[in-house]
Amino acid sequence: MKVVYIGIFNNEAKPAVELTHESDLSSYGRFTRGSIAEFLTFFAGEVAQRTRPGQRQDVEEKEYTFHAYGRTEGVCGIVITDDEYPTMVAHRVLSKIVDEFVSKYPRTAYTNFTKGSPQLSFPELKQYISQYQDPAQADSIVKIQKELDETKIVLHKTIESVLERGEKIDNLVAKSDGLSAQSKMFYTQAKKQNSCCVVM
Amino acid sequence: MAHSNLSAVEQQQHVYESLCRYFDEHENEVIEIEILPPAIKPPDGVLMQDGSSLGIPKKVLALAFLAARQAFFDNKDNSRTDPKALQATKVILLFDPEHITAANFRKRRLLALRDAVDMLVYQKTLLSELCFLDSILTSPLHRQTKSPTLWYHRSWLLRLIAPLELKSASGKRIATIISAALDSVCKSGERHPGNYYAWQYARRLVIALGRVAAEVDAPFPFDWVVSAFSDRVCTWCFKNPSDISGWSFLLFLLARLDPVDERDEIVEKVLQYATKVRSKNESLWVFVRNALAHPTLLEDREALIETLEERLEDAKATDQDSTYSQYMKQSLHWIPIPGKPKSRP
Repeated sequence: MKVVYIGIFNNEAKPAVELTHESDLSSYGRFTRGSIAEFLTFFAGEVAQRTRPGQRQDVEEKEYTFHAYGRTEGVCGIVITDDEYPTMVAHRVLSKIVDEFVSKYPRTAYTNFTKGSPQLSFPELKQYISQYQDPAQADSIVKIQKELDETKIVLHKTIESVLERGEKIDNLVAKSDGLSAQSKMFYTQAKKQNSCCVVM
Repeated sequence: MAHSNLSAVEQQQHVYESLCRYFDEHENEVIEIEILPPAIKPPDGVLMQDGSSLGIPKKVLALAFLAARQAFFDNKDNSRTDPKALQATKVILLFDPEHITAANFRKRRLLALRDAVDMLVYQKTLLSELCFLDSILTSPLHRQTKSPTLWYHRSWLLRLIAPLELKSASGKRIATIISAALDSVCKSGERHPGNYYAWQYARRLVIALGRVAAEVDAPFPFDWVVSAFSDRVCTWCFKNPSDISGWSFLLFLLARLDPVDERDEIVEKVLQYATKVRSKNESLWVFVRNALAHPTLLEDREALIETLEERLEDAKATDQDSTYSQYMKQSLHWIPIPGKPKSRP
């Protein structure tokens, strides 16, 4: 049960721009975690870009679930977990971090944000990603907004299903300038292991 | 043709020596080994190293294995103190953890040290063997972490270490070794979900500790160990709630937990957790219903069954069709409730 990433994107921009984030990749090997980090940011951006204001969605891709929450302020929160992590808890965490972010930063702070800009400071994220590894901790999140309605969260079984018709993930990966050449190769070579006990 | 064959052998030898050198330099640590996908290439073409982290491409490991295998069979009948074959077995077992010949060779060398004079060298070697095993069993290596050969080897090794430590070591040190053993199981269980061999190793460990407690003259805190293990494993299960192996081991521990009311406390804790997260994990509910169905496991089984019934009522009030409610309903139906004949569906 893992939270691997929490972040906030400006999704009025196309492509969406990561404003702040924190990740926990300690369960991945030392030498592959760099590429994995790049991918999480990349896919998070793709999901954020396709999340409308007021919309909540869950996108499952391989062993991850991308939980997204779009706001009218032009930002989208993304929490990436494994498939064991309870959805409702992930969305409660999303509500919290996005609320805190928009309280902290007016629109002017991120409207002209570009990819190269230094990320906006949100040091609490580091504590949250550690704390909410245990979903029972999310109990303390006070529900100041109306109850989350689980049925309103749109579920997608792959990232491809949130893309526009004709768009393919492989093309997006190949075209992306947010991914190193090494990471792109890593992606194209990654095969899903179907048999349990095979040495790589 | 001849020239290219030679450079292939040279290449194997080169990578083999690099890997051996790394193992030697980190002999007394638990290292983290990763098999690199083809996209990630070491700058020197061989290994990526960062302190106790090692990354090795699959192709390179295969080449090292070929050289190791050759070195092993060429040297295994040399004198007992010759290091060449022993060194090769490390690389062999990293590539092929089920290579029983290599594993048994290591066992025989350890036994030879036990029969030799220098106790300090023997003790040190036993502990570095533990580091080597843990390096493979707890690394992000999908297949190696579930190796029955290496998990058995770890049991065998602890059986050698135990008499030494029980004789001379402080209680604190013994506690450290036992605790580290469970840590390895938990870490390996995370690397490879449903890791039957790791958790079976844990069962063997607990049973062996029980035997030691019965035999040894000085009092051995078996109950305390089982209690500490139960807490640790319960926490692990909350973090890995869909892993049936963890929950099965918790049930195994529960049967050995003393005093009996601690067993009820654990089941209560699990029920609280299940309610908090509205658990849809079948493995969790397997644990719950088996614990509650057992006629003599718990101190006050009826009270806990009642708790479960209350939770179901609470859940029905908000959402009776949720998977969480269904699991509770099915568990209650499955458990033979004392005094109530099971109704036929």
